[in-house]
Formats: sequence, structure tokens, C-alpha cells
Amino acid sequence: MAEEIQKQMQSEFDSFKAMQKEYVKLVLQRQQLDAQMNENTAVKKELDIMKDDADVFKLIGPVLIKQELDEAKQNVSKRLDYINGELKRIDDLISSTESKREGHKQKIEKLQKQLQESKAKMMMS
Amino acid sequence: MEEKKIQLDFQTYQEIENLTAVKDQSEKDLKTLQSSMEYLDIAQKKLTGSQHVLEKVTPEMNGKEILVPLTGSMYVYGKIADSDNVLIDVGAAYYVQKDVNSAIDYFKRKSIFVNEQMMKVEKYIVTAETKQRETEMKLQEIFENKLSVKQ
Repeated sequence: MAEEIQKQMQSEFDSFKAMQKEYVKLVLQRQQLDAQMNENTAVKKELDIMKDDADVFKLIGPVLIKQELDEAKQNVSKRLDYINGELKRIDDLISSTESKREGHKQKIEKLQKQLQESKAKMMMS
Repeated sequence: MEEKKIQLDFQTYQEIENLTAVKDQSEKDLKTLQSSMEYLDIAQKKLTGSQHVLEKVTPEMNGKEILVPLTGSMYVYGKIADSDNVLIDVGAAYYVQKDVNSAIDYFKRKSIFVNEQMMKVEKYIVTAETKQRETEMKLQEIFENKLSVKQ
């Protein structure tokens, strides 16, 4: 009986650890997206206050390529949309991973109790 | 040597565990905040540095000879072709051309922005510090009370 519970606990613990790892990875991704979002928002703000005939360049590899202001604005807006979508996707993933992790944690706690009980019973008999 | 066993009731044990977790968390928060502060400080210095350099860029510089660094220790001669406009890296691989005055204005604005962020972070640092101190005091209290009673 006790062995059985211990086995179950080990597998739950492994799943818990995997979920925790996944969670940490996702949070890191979220932070990166957040940074990109802040950067692009700042760029968009800057482009929005530029004069229409201002020169804008994009750094592609080692060279600066001239780009139309409107095109640059559009590109940044598109990127912001994409980043926002990604943020939402990651947020959903984070909450689902979190709930899975909590589920494993609760199971571990339950198994721990069972283990203690069965040990107590063994001592009694 | 006689071993003194300290009996802790379950509640106290849990309280200690919780408080330690809170303390660890606020310590972690504090570290993150402090490193953010350092990054902001570096950004601030870069921005004000660029601003000060721009204040020295005047129309009289046109056509003047300068040394252009190719590497950290090697230079070639060059002449300033345009002292009115500069290219600014605004982030996300975008560069915009601005005249010197609007460039100075850009760096001033950015610098103010960074300053605001620093003030926000500073506030969080103070909160995290107080929380850390409070939890530490609570822990100390528990240890002193429980341990002195049992001995």
C-alpha cells in the first residue's frame, strides 16, 4: 500500500516539476514580449510625432535602409498587433500551466496524507 | 551533550514556513528592482551623454576635419559633411533623421521618461524593503517567543 502511494507520488512530483519548468519558461517569454512591446510603443510614439517628410531608416543587418515614414509606421503597428496577440496567447498558457501545476501540488499533498495514514495504521497493527 | 528538542506546534511551523517564503520572495523582488534601477541609471547616463555631445555640435563644425574611429584604437581622417542633422536610434532597429535641436529635445524627453520610471521603481524598492524588514521582525518574534518558552 505504502509503496503504491509512493510510486504515485513520485510520478505526480515529476509532473509538478515539469509544469514548474514550463511555467518559468513561459514567464521568461512573457517578460521578453513585454520588453518588445514597450520598445515598439516608444518607437511608434516617436514616429507619430515626426514630420511627414522626415527620413526614417531601418537597420537590416549592418546597413541602414531608407524607409517611408508611413511604411515604418505601418510596420511598427503591425508588430505591435502581433506582440499583443502573442502576449494574450502566453497569458492563457501561463494560467493553464499554473492551474495544472496547482492540481499536481494538491494531489501530492493528498498522497502525502494517505501515506502518513497508512504508516500510522501499520504501526498500530 | 544533552540535545534539546524544541517542540513546535503545527501552526507555528506553518507560520514560520509562510513567513520565510514571503521573506524570500521580497528579497528576490528587491534584487530584480535593484537591477532594473541599475539598467535605468545606465540608460539615463547614455541619454544625457548624447544630449551633451549634441550641444557641442554647431554649424561652425561644417567641413572640419575629424578622426573617425574604425576600431577602438584605429582612426581615419574624415570631414564633417552635415553638422545640422543626426541619425538617432529610436529602438526596434529604426533610425530617424533629426536636426540637432529636435535631437536634443528627443534626448531630453527620453531622459525625463527614464527619470519617471526610476521614481516608480524607487517606490517599489521602498515597499519591498519595508515588507522584508517587517517579515524579518515577525520571524524574530516567533523564534524568541517559542524558543524561550520551551527551554
